This record gives sequence, structure tokens and C-alpha cells, in this order.
Amino acid sequence: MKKFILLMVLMLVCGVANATDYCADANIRACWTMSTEGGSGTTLNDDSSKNKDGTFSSSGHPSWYAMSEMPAYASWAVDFTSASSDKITWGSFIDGVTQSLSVTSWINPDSYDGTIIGSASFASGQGFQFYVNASGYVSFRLIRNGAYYQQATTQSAIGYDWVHIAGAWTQADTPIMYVNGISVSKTSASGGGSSPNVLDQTTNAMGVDGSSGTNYFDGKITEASVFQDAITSTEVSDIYDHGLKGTGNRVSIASLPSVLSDSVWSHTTFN
Amino acid sequence: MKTLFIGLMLLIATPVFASVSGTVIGTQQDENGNIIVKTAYYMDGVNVPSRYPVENGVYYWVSRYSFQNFDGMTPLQIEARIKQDVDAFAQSLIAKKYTTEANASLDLKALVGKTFTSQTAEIQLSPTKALTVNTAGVSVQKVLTPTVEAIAK
Repeated sequence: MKKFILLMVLMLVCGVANATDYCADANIRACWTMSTEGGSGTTLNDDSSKNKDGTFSSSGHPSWYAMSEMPAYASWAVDFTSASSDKITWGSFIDGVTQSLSVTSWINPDSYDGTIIGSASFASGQGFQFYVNASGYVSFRLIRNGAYYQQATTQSAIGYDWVHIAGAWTQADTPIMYVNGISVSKTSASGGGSSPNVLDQTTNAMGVDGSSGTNYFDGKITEASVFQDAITSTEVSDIYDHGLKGTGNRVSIASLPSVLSDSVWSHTTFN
Repeated sequence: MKTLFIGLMLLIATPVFASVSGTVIGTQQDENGNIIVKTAYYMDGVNVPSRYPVENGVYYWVSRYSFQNFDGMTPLQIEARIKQDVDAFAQSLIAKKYTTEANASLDLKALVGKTFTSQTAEIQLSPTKALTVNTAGVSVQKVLTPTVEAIAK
């Protein structure tokens, strides 16, 4: 009887969701943690089960960069120079129509106006582009039937240091954009807000706009991902703090001062 | 023994009220000075594990804010804004649990042993040109109608 009860308790406890490996998330479409590559290799491994391994233009284009600074959990980054030879490409992408879409990445730009991840189908005019615009704001663009809808952050330019950025686009809303885990203000939607409708793209790239073959990124990219759903602010913070695989620890939150611990929201329960 | 039995009954009873709730257990600032709201989530009454350090025996998750997020808001409006994010993550937890269970229940055994064959592949050369190729080295040029590159920056 005791054994049976213990077994039941264990089963119930195990039924609860475990801490998250986002590369194994049901909605992940690509997860490039850059934890094992480096050297002169020309393959960017996809750490999800979606097999979106990227191929460099050639050896050294872009180049691997050994991480010795933020974020602590990333081993390597890819370093783009804005030269047309510096890009990483891969095959088909999203599994058909999607009503929501998220992109996350750590970047360290050397200059502005470049695409982090771009994906498009020339034939059907569908796709998306996640990029840093000429003013240093993060911009998320959807391309639907040859028309585009986009929003850019407005709070402050991202600067020339490591920054974690994310964009989550839901069906009903315009995208929520995050910088270092915080949702930031945005411009009005150009072309009107619209939900994603990304279909069978054939031109997918990191470091260049997949739709035009221009708009090259200048700087480093690591820990990049694409989800076929809109991730939440809590998930963005988790990725920011622990990395896509959930194995890192960027900063010890326990060591930070609890200066706000008596604020109005403490011990509020939401059901 | 009686305690164990009561504990078991409680654990069995909680799924009857299947839900995810979030309790804010504290707030602080991160290393960039941004506001961190720490929320413990409970799925069917059981604390959801996270990668953050356990605090007072409780796992918590984090969402971040800055004062700009709450500009012009009353305390009640701020609470509603936080609740929105707690709801979103709670729904994500529910959806993930359902998806995992639905995937596990699919019977795909009939697929084993089936062979699928592709004859050709398309390689995009430019916005207007692609090649349809096969493994024998044969390629056929295909003209594409560009619709995207006209998009203004």
C-alpha cells in the first residue's frame, strides 16, 4: 500500500511541466545556440529537431567568434562584416501557415541597418524579417502577399554592445518587442498591423534580408531562435537569463537586492 | 499512514480544479536596474519548476518591466498589466501540457516501413530565376515573378 501511494505521488508530481529547454519546445522552428561549433566550420547547427542547419557562404564568411563576455551561457557567435559574402542560409522553414511568430537573438552590432534573420518566398511574396534599422532600433516585418507590415522599437537605440532582443507576433495584435527582457514601445505599424501568414519560404538567411538579398548585418549574433507561436514575456526573460537550452545562468538573481520586495504586487495571486 | 493517505487524496483532488495560477512572491531590480516581478506558478496545485533559484522552497519565474511600461497607470491598472503577463504564461503552460499529452497519444506506428521519394528540388538563384534539379544532374530553369523585392525600406 505504501509503495502504491508513493508511486501515485511521484506520477502526479512528474505530471507537472519541467523547467524549459526551448530547443525542444513544441513550437520551436529553429534553435541556434552556437554551443558546439566554432573553428573553421561552415555549418551552423540547429539544436532543435527541425534540422534547420545553416550553411556559411564559405569558410570564414561569416567567421566564428569565441565568446568571452555576455551572455555567459553562449560559447560561440557568428561574426558578420556586412560584406555580401557573409551570410548563412538554410532550406524551407515554417511548416505552412502560421498565425503567430517569435524571433529571439543576442546581437552585438558593429554598425546599424542589417538583417538578423530574414525569410521569404519570392514566388508567393510571404515571409518575415527581423532586423536592426539604420537608426539602431529593432524592427520586425511581416511580408504578406507582396505587401509588408512592420513595427520598430522607439525607446532607445540598442547601442554597440551585447543586447538580447525578441519579437513576438500574435494573430490579433501587432508584435510585442523586447530588449533585454523588457517590452519596449514601438512605432505605429507601417502598412497596418497584420497577423503572420508565413508560407513555405525558399530563401532563408541569417545576416541578410532573404527577400532582397541585401541589407547585410554588421556584428555578432548568437543564441538565435524562431518559434511558430508568440512567446510570453516570462519566456523571453527565461531565455534571456538561462539561454535557449536553459542550461546557463546569466546572472544570479538571488544575489540582487530585493529593493522592491514590499511593493503593491507582492503576494497577489492571479487565477 | 493517515497523513500519507490525506496527502494522496489532496493531490488526486486538485486536478478536478485543473488550472494554472500565478502568485507574485516578490519584486526587485535586475543588474540593469529593470524591475523583476517574481511569480510562482501552480499547475493543478503543484509548483511549476523553473531554472531560477528556489526561494523559500518555492520555484518562481520572472517577468521584467521598466517604469515606461506603467507610465500614467494607477496601481490597479499596473496590477492588471502584470496579470495580463501572468495569464499569458499560464495559458502557455496549459497549452504545452496539452500539446505534450496530445502528441504522446497519437498512434503513428503505421508509418514505420513506408518510403517516400522526392524526384526534384528547386534551387533559388535570384529573385527572378530558379533551377529545378534532380540527382542525375539535370536542371531546368524556372522564371519567377518577384513580388517582394519591390518593397520599400
